[in-house]
Amino acid sequence: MQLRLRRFTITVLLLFLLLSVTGCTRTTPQPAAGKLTFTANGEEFIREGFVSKDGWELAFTNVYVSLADMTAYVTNPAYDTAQGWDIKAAEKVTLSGTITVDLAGEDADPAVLGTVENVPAGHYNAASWTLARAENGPAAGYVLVLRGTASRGGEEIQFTLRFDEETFYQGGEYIGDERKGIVSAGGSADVEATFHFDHLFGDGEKDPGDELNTGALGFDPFAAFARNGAVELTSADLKERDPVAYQQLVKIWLHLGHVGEGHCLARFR
Amino acid sequence: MSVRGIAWRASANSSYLNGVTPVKKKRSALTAVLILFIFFCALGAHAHSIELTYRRDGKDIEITARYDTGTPVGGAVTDVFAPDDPAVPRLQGETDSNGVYVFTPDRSRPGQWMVRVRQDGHGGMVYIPVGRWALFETIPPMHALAALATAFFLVASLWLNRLSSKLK
Repeated sequence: MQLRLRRFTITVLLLFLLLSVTGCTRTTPQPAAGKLTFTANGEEFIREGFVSKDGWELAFTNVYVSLADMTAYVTNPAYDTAQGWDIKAAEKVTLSGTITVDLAGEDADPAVLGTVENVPAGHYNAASWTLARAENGPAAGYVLVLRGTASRGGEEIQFTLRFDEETFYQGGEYIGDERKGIVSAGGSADVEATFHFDHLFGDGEKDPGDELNTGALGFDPFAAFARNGAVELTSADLKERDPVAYQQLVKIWLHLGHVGEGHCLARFR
Repeated sequence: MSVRGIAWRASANSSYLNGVTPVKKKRSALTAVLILFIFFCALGAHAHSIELTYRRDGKDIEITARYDTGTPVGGAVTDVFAPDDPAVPRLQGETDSNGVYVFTPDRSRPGQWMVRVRQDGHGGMVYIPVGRWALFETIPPMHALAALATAFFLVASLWLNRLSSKLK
């Protein structure tokens, strides 16, 4: 009986030893790598123009937007903005620096911010970025610059609107016609920061009572400052000259950033 | 929030005026108009954020899509993705007028299923853990743990009984 017990104990100890040795020497397999491209998109609203809620036909020549430290995350279980700000990521890839792109440019469907090579394969199903003031270039000192023409009933206004509200946006998986962010071994994928400008100007194709339109500024508050068919306005000017419109702009600003059609959490920096 | 505020004021007004007949009629009419206004506002409400919830019903999963105002998202394009093929929808359909879409996942593909609902330039998605057996998903985790613990103690006591009788 004692011999049996001794053999049993030795076997158990040997098994433990074997397990601990394999545990110590086991190497974690390196995930296969691919490429991840970071993009920004102003959608057809910016590329093709649209009619605002107050009937202004808007055509954009340049829409410069500056994004800083755009980051893509692999989350499992997948991150949902309803959970709040806390993201538990298995992988995290950041495109460092502040990059300005023109959302109304020729190659802006979507506009490419940059590509990071050798990222671990996985589904990058959450993204964050900061709308940050550009350090140089056409948007220097601002996070967003809109240039274009607004026309209504024979009246035409050349506008340049500059905004400097630095904002951090964080969203879940891209919602759109396709699923994005899936990097396979040796493959490539993209993550997108999407901006919905119909929230700012409203959409003339929608009912005036539609919540999007009731919450939007429209173009009238900007047109009110036009002289000789032109308006140049910064958000600081708007704050000083039309505080009510500025307060509405502040609310809209937090709803400007999306990931495709999915809403983001947002906070001013 | 504002709609709720108006509704509360409408009901407060109507209770306050009980017993004052001529004014009561006028105020009741006003209340009725307000209620109708709220009703039509709710019908026309088009929020921009879509929120999805789900409920398990046996082998089926029922999705409910609502705007952030609570209005159901009816007639919205709905795509269901299995975990082993995240790029191609496994099922496609539309929500009904109550914003509900029901599907039966293929349980030979366990993992995180994803359901995406889109309408009018806005969308929402929800991830649903799907196992091989629907039964285990409907049992609350604490109940499952209690059942496992009971089974373990039963087997252990039987084994100890046998061991002690052998030693004797």
